[in-house]
Amino acid sequence: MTVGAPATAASSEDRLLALLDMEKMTLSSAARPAQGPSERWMRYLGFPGGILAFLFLYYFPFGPGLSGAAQAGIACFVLALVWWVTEPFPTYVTSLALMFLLLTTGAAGAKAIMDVLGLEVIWLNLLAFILSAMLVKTRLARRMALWLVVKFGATASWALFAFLLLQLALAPLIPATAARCVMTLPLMLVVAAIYGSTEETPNAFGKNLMLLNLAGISVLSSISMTGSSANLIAVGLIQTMGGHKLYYMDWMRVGAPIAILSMLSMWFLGPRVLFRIPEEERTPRIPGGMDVVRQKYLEMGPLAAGEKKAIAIFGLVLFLWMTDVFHLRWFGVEISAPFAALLGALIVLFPRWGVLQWAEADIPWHLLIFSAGAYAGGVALDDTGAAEWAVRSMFGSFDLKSLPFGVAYTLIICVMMYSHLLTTSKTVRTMIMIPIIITLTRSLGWDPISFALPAALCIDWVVGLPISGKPNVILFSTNQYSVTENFKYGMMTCTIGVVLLVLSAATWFHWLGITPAFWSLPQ
Amino acid sequence: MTALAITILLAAVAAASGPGPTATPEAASPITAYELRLDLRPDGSADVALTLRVAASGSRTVRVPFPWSELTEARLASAPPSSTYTVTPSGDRATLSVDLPMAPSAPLEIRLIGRVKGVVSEPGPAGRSMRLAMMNVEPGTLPDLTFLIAFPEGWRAHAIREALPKAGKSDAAPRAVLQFVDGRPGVRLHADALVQGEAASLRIDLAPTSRSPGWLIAGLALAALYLRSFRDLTASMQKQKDPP
Repeated sequence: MTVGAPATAASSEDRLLALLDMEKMTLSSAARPAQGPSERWMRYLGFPGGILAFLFLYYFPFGPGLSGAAQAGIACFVLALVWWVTEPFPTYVTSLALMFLLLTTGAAGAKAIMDVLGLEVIWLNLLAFILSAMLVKTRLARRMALWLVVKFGATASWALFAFLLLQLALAPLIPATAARCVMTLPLMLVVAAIYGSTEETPNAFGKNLMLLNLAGISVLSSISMTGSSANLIAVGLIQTMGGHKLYYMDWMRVGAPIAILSMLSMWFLGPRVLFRIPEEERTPRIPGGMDVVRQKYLEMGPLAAGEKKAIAIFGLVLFLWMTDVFHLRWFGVEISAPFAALLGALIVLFPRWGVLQWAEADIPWHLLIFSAGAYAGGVALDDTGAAEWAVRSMFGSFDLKSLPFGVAYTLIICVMMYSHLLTTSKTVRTMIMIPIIITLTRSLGWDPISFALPAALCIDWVVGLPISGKPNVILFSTNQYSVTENFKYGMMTCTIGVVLLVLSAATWFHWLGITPAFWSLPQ
Repeated sequence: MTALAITILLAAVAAASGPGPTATPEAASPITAYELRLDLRPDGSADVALTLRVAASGSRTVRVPFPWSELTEARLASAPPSSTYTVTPSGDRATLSVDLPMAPSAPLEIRLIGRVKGVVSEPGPAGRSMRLAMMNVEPGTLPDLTFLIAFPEGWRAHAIREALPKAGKSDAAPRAVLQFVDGRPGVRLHADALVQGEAASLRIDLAPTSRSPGWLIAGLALAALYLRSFRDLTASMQKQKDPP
């Protein structure tokens, strides 16, 4: 996304107005300019590097356990991964190349590739962007962003903390991560701009803001078992295969501390270690400072009619998102997150009663193509059995039989946490990993719950790459950070999570009776 | 209603297949394991070895479903002396009956070997494919079912298109697993039980073990072309006007 020409505005007031003029905001499909010589070299070598990785994986004799289609799928996905990370060309071009390669190498059929554009996640993204455009057009987003900055934005650190609290509050209310992301995206963009971070001039604050929200949206879903449908699948597997009934509080008392502590750590460490915010960027980058922001907020006056309409429409969608468990009883049908958004979009675009014309809804097709390519790659990895083969190969390479609980636990948690880089679907990852972990731990002589529950807490931590989760795809479109920066932030978040899970296994989980003594040996 | 219709249909199918010429009216012997090994040959035929483990029972006839209607060069490689077998075709499949000289008083193993034709399709532009399908039309459950298949020399699995019965949510392993079989690439399908009326099948696309060098040539050529055409990307920031 790009914010219309803020850099050229002369006066402080004009500059702020330019920053807040989100109606001029368009979703940029231009390639992010390279930042420095190393990135230029990375782009130059990324293209042949991706091809070499593809050729190696395509021709390497992996043995009979991997089918030809699965091997081709892995080769294509890694090629795309190298290109997405090094960015020799825009990410959606890589997605198109990936889709073509999947077909021509026989990794996936034409129908399976084309069908990804009809996936629920693509529809949710599309509809959520219409709702987001409504917030921008009616200036409700501007009002909310100004309020947020006036109340919490005196310093960069508190502005970041406010977003963390916002995501923490939304997580139990709205299970759909993409929905949470899109409803807070306009606020992120305005606040980032107030702190001087735009697509043309991204700064450390912008990177921290976007990536903290990215991590927060996903990680905080692991607070409760209803945080995502994949969590519920894991609970079901633990119950049917592991023989343990899990209650809401059983999950929450182990999931909430890990998720919240991890995010607090990232809020603290991100601006100090990863993307250090210089002194001059720690306050709003508006000449006139907070006074101008406050003045602009007051000048907005009472809520306009359009804003009231937007609140009503968004409130209806939000209500449907929050009450999905009651839909069947109320309406005889479950209105899923995309259909709730569809109803909202219908009202938004309705002649006279709505607030938007179709042309005003800025649909980021390049982003949807990028997502489609990523999902096509993910579907190919799942359908061909490549993801499962990779996971089994990883587990098979460990000799866990003679290891103390703590060591085996750490290895399994690491595999579970970082395996999100291999797939684009939390559900598929859960379906593959949790049964393997339960079977494996039982064969080792451990109680399955001691591994399966902590492993299930990692399901939602899909933060390593822009293709790892729905919010990642959406936030990557802001062009405020690169794939490499996303990877660094994601890996740090996951590593903090692993450390906390391991420390908890030795203490908190053990006291709760979930894990055995850390250094105990299998029975 | 649907269940009743299926039951009637299955009963009709079972009745149509009829008892084999040498079968007795006694109830089928309880099978404890059914293992079908296939050694696929480049000409599309397969050497078949069917191993049945039978528990002690009061019946001297063993009846099991068989995936093909015809088995040539067949013989009982392992069975009590004087045992005979019959393959009774029913459509493109059959029922195999083995008559034992007497009802088994202890668990025993019966092994039938032979050859079937046309298991693998002729090589075409898209490779080859093989399908093995069987439905349990016999009364009772067929436990511990295994298909073990070694692919033809020089061929490997490109994709498993079908593996039935579907793996349940609580199954830790997939229904069909690619692995070495007798030192050759192959596949193993295993089901703990195949209830009456349930089908077990495996459909696999095969591809030559050695891949064509086409991608290697195209990939290297494209990489070289890119490195030559995009040299300006490494030029200094001032000179760089149009990022790709």
